[in-house]
Amino acid sequence: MNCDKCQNPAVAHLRYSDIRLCKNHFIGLTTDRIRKTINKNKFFERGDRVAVAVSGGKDSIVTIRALHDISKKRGLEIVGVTIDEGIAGYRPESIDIAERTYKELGVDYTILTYKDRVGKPLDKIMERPDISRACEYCGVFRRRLIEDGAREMGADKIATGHNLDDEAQSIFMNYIRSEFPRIARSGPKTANKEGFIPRVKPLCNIPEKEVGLYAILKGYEIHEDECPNAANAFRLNIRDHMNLIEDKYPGFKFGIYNSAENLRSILSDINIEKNTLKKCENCGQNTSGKICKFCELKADARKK
Amino acid sequence: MKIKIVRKEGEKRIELPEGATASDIFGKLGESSETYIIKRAKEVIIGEEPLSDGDELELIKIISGG
Repeated sequence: MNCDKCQNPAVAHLRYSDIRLCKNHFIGLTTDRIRKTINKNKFFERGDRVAVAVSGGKDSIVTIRALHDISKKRGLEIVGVTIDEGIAGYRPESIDIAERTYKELGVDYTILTYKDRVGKPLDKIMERPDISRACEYCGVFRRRLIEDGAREMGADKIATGHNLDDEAQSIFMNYIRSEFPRIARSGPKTANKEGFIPRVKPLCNIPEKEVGLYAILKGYEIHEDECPNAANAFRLNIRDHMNLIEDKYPGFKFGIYNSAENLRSILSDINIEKNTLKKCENCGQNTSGKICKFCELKADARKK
Repeated sequence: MKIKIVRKEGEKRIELPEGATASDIFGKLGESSETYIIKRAKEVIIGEEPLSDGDELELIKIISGG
């Protein structure tokens, strides 16, 4: 099968728009889509220091390389933030890849560990018999540590590697949990809110498979193992079902993503966000209660 | 026709009818085509690519998260 734009062999079939593309046209289109997302959503201002959260996986490696490519022209300074959760046999290899990428690109970076910042590596936390779902803790800890790392690096923005599949899964999960404020807050760019560094997602409308293909075709070094704690995650079940539906109905994930965009404009009109933010009595970060989720879970994780 | 599938976790041989294309392997494997990139003779191919008896396909899994 050949490319729809030239006669070279096709390496990608974008079934949701029924386009077949060769290596060069696929890389060109994907690069263009990432840049359009950045421009359309006005992610950056000249002079911004952008902290990219890099795990070493395909999404974060594509993100930091894409932003590094445009950084000179746009007057951006790219720095890296890597989180070491403390997962033996999994994280050390991905951190090596992240560090090699930072060094190749010549960007400053920081590595924050759960051991130092939470008090225990994740493997130790998971030794407790009453804790079965690592993602509940890990998601909250990682999010906070990325914020802390970015702040310590003097960043104006945080860029993450969330792709279309991640977004569609989150929207669906928030919908079935009636977490409408979360849907209202989600999207390619978080609103400027006092106390938080704005977050941007340059890959938010690139399907996961295309991010993987892009990384492979570009010859990027990426970490290819799955987190050993992910197997039981609710999100992975949602992912598997969404993939099967996408097989039958191409464009399904874009449908969910686009419906949330429409929903967000309705939610913003009715001001669904009723809770006013307070400061956590423990760490001073924004929270809707007295103690933020990070401090609550951190205290719990440190128990023996 | 007989097709050899090579994945990180091991190899498998499957039987497909004449005229099958690369995407037909996913039905046999019970997996989604969204999860893998297919290579034949070290080149990436798309799901519509016709297969021939004796083809060896390498499946590269797309890993979520990080």
